[in-house]
Amino acid sequence: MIRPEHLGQRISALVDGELGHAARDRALAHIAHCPSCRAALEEERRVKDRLTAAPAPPASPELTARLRALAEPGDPLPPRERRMPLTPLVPTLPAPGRPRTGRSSRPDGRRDSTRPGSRGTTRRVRYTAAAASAAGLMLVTAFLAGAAPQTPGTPVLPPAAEISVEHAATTSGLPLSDPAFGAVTASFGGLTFPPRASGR
Amino acid sequence: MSRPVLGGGRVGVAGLLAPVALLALLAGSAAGSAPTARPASWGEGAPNDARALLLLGRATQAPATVAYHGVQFVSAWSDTGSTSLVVEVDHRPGHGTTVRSNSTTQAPAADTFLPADGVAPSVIGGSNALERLAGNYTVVLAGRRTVSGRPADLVEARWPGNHRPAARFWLDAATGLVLRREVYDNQGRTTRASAFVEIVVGRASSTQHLPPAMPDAWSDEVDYSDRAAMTSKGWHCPDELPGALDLVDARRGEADGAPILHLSYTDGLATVSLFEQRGRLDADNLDGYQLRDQGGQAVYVRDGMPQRVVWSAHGTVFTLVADAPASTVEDVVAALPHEPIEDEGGWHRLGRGFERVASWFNPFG
Repeated sequence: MIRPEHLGQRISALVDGELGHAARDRALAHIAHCPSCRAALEEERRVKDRLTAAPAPPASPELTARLRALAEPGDPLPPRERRMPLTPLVPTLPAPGRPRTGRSSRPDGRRDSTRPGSRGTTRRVRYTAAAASAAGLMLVTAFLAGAAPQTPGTPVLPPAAEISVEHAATTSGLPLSDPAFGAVTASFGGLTFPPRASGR
Repeated sequence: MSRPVLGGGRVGVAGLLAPVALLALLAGSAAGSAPTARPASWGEGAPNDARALLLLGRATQAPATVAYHGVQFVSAWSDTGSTSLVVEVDHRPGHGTTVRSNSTTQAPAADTFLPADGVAPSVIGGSNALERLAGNYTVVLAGRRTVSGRPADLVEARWPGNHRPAARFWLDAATGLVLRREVYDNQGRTTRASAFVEIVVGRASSTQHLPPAMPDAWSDEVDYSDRAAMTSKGWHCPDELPGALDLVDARRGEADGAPILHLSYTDGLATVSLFEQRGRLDADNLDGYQLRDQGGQAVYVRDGMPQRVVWSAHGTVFTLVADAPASTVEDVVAALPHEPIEDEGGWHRLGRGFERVASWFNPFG
């Protein structure tokens, strides 16, 4: 029988779970027959496990000191930046030489209600904003307070290990079931999927 | 590792007689008229193939008489991921099966011994399971193949509706051992596969050391009258679940001093365990689960093989452990009790909130 070529770079992809369905199947079948690839696979897994288990390098004393300094009391937060410029609610001081009355400077003598410096308008906007804020706060408080009461009963955490063993013990007796799946389920709860999908 | 040995297997007299008895039970219809009975909701299927049933019956008996050891891979797939494991399997008839796996990035190394007499509950095992398989699926012989250098008969169990394969078994022509298995969902996608890539038939490994045995199933069996009494006290004990899953075993255990009920269901191919405990789910301390909308219900899911689904409703915590297609699991979850995710609506909640806030300021409340 002609053996396929060795796995080479695909060993790393196999360990990382990056091979597709068919490629993984072929790689596993090859590994079962090829001692050198099997040894390479085990070495790759050992290295990866060591890297995963290795402690993080200690931070330098200077960095530690700087990080600690960050936690000490400091200046207040800078003012928030607004995404859109809003019409100021507090009237700005009139420019020198500009009349301080609320009278309109329009030629027709009518009040200019859109002018930001208008006192009456500002007051109305203030009251409206305050009322809207109070109503909003009231609604939010009522919504939070109106949450459904929590389901009564003792908090229960299902016993994962016992449940796995019990499931395996009762289903491994099924004819045509695979003993390997039962053993894997009983030993460590079955096969769990890595975070990344393998491109199926 | 040794190379595969051709032939060398033995099948005892009992192993030959039992399949014949099974055949009489299961395939009388296959040789002649009507197909084996199956739930009406699954529709009518093609008749089972008598030769395929004979081979499956022989396969169920083979581990009782045939020793073997070898290297096997096991793989599982779902919509969210996949994983594989290579294990060494060593089987001794009458003693049990040792399964050894090396550590991987997803699972630690493990040695497990499955005792021959410790993992076969009388109800779920034996001919009942084959009867269910033949009743719920159409079993046919699909030809001759080769697995790990050994000639094998390929037997298919097909979905009754669309006649796609639900499972394929490659059965060793010489001994009847299952050399390769593949299980598919009803869209034809492989969900689980295992196969020997190296096998020596006729003798077990020379290793004498046995790892710790897998614990037995809980000994407190719950019979029909017990179940009726438990149902009257609020436990949920359905006789069947969607997907033609029949209740085949019920047991009681204990967790943290409180009772836990275990109900086992199977259709002859898929298996589902339903565990029930009194209380409400401590979701904050669940490890490895994701909150998900499954079949319109908010449940905590842990993908893998088996898949796990956990939720609580009406004072009971339900844990589902399933070796079954995802669509079946969704149907099963939907058929069990749930509480509404949201309450009666935003206005009702606001009204209740205003009442509650008012009561805070009411000196007479």
